[in-house]
Amino acid sequence: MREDIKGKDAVIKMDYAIELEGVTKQYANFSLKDVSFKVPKGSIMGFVGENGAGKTTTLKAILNLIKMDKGNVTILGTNRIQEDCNIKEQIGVVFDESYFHANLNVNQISKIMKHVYKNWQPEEFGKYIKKFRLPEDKVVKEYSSGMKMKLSIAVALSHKARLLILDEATSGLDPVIRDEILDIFLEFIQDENNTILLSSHITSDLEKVADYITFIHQGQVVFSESKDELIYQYGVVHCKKEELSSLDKNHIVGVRTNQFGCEVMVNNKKELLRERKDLTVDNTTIEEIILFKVRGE
Amino acid sequence: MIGLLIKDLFNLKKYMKQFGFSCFIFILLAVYLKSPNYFMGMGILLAAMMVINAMAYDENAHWDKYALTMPILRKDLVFSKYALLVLSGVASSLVTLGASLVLSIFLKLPLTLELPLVNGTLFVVMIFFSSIILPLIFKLGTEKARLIIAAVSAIPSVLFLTIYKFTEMNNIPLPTENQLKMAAFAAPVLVLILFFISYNISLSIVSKKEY
Repeated sequence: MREDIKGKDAVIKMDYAIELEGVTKQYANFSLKDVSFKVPKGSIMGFVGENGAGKTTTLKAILNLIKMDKGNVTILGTNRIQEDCNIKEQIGVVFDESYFHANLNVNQISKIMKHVYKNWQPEEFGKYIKKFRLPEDKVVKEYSSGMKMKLSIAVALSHKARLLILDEATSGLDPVIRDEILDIFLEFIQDENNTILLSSHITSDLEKVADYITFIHQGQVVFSESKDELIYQYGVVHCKKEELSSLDKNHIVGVRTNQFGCEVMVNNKKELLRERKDLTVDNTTIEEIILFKVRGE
Repeated sequence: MIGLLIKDLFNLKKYMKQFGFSCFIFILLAVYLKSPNYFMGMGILLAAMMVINAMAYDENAHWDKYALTMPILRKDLVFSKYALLVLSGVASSLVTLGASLVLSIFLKLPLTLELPLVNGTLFVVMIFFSSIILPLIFKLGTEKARLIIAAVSAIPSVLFLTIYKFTEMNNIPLPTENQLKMAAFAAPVLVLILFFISYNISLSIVSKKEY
């Protein structure tokens, strides 16, 4: 659980809220292959990948909703999550759709949760219901999909959770409420014992809040790195096709060619900016890095 | 587990109103037939249907997947349904027995041990059928299990009629009163054993499920 990461001048001790090692799961038409990454405590990890990449399957493996063929998952220090209710008290989960019964209202949901979670906070829940403007006199089936998502988020935030696992939780929300919720997540993470694993297509949200990014593609983890390191190290070189050969192939992530030349995603931007004044190297985004990795040559 | 039961009771609020209305209709029928037995039987049957409805609501909401992310174990998902079955069965039995007694007094029918015996038998029969049906629903879901539930309900009647016809045609003597009494005492014990076997089968099914 604890690992010493040797930096230049200091040994940094890091705890991990979630650790996946070699997680493998085979289905008829898809498989998770040797998925390994770690979510440091006190951080927000963005978990990104295209549709069908394996994000939800990975989250289900973490929560033991599916049985892994191989591998190990440790969550908040245990690999026996399905048998340990104390650990599950500390986890708040939001899936990409609401799983509340159609005829329940928020007051009934609060009464149910009071008898599910030892640390259920009805006042905190009421505060989020008001903040998200959810009607108390309507039942869940009368809510829009955005309102159902906000309800799930309110529940996840109302039982003193230490770990939030969110599967496309903000995807169906308008930009205003999404911004509000991201601010709530940033507030949540102020307590260094709290951690968030946020799976999302909306890479701009991840750039706003994430400390780490894990990218999964066709069931395999492509990278799992610090967001700042990604933005710092990756860049897009605009050059002519003849100049492509002058770039170190070991640092080329992907290439896009067009009639005017090449766009080359590299992971040694700082080095190139220092040594190759003849090249134009632009900063990049998480979205571009992913597109180059998936669609680039 | 209490949270799961409270959730089921909230979801069944509407059903219980319909249950109350249906009981009212059955009471009218009982007055017309001058016998509360039919009313008791339907009342206890509706209690069994309550659990199936609760499971259908959970299925429609895909609740189990979400519930397992909370401090709820897989065995809690199973236990809550069996607990609901017993609670609704006992409640329905007591309510229908009480109502039947009042009805009997109103209809000036003789008050004998027949009413509680019939009531108890119906409760045992309800537990018997539910013990067969619940593992099927856990395995197949309420939609796919419907046909099998209809078959399970029909098979004992068909079997009973077949055995009766066979004994009649072959001059095989029917069980004596003493033999029937012994069977009546043994039945609750056998049904109790079946109930525990059913619970363990359901537990095994849910333990292996992937969501």
